Amino acid sequence: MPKRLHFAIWLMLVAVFSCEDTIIEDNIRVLVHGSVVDQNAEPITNASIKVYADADAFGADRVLLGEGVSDASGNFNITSLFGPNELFLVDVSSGDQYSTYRYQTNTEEFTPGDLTFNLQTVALKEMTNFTYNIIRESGEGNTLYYRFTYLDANCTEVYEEGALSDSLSYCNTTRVTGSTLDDASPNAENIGFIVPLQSQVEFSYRLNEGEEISEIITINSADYAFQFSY
Amino acid sequence: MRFNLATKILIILVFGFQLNAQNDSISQNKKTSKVPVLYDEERQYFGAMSLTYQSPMPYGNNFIGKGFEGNGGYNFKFQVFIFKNFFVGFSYGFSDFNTTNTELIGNYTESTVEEISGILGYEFLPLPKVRLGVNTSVFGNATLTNSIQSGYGNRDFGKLRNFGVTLEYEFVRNLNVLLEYNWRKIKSEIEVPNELKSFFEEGTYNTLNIGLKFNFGGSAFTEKLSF
Repeated sequence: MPKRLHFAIWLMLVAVFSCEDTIIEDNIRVLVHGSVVDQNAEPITNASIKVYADADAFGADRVLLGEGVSDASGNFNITSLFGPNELFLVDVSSGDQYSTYRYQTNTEEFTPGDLTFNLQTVALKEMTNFTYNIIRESGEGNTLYYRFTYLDANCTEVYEEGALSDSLSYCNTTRVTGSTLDDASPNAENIGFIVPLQSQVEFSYRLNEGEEISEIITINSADYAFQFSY
Repeated sequence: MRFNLATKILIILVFGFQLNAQNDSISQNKKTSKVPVLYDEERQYFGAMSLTYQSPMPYGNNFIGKGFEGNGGYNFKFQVFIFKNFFVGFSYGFSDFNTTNTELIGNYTESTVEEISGILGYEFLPLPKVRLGVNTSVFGNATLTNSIQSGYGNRDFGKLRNFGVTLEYEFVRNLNVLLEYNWRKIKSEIEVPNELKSFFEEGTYNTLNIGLKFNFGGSAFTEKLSF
């Protein structure tokens, strides 16, 4: 039994600490192209495009292989270095005011025959701060359970051998945040998160043992401030 | 300037034949002419070695011309005069570049081009103590070592073609100060998508070299063979 245990521990250590460097192949370039638009299909100029490789192993670095920006029409053509790695990533962003997009694939298993990664049209959503204040006015002894359900506009599309994998991708996922307000902590003040403009946030709450109530908030302005009292 | 290998060899051969045809008259001129352009027995050497600092200057619509900026380098040449002032030899050097447009070439900050080739050439003697030479590469290879970030890099390979002209002044017996201008082209082996083929299939740059050349021996290789 101790021998088996030692062997298992040894195997685990080998698995955890085995080093694999990120590989940059000699004598090759790939082309990463596409276009960037906002939620209204208007081109985004100067969006940042960064291409990374990562062996995704202990001690391996994430290496920037190529970078550039979109032109006035939102188009980009980035020449990038290349290598067979666990992760080949293309990150598209445009500052804090827009959501982010990531293209992810495994280039150990797949290299496009034409050495081209066509991201087609990448839509970034304009983002804004959503700040809320929930104040207790009903006096001691009342408890409020609340949560906000909102859209996470950041998107990661995972491709396996050139085909989009829905199960591994996560785009337009919903996120939930909330808490309980009671005598110990009766107010929630100036708490915030980031949401896409023109999106909807669902605010659900329950006072004491009452029924849960939901209301929909449409984010129609930048730096949206939400006030609620109970 | 575009010279393929055949053209360059033809130029060298024409000079060689012309020299051969004029051999007798040159010998006669030696006594009368103070400035024999093609040959002067008193200025004949067996070989020479040169070491120069070179300033690379990218040009053209290609990955070197649009993506690189010259940053210096060195070149070493060894040559043997086979017949009169016709010489063969080899050249080894490197040129350092900084990258200026990573969106076009990939994300690396520096590239060092290692240049190795055989050389063929000819030296004219237009003035006392002055030599004017032309040379071309044969079987040249170029290796571009690209630095990405600490610990990472990759290499690109290609065939090197070079055409150079030299101007030398012999300020001390056997020692020349050398000024050289080279047109260089790398036929790259970089694998790229079709859209990028024309941009990556060759890289062009010139170099301006300055340095010293040491001459040795007193007769050409073929003269040493004749008894």
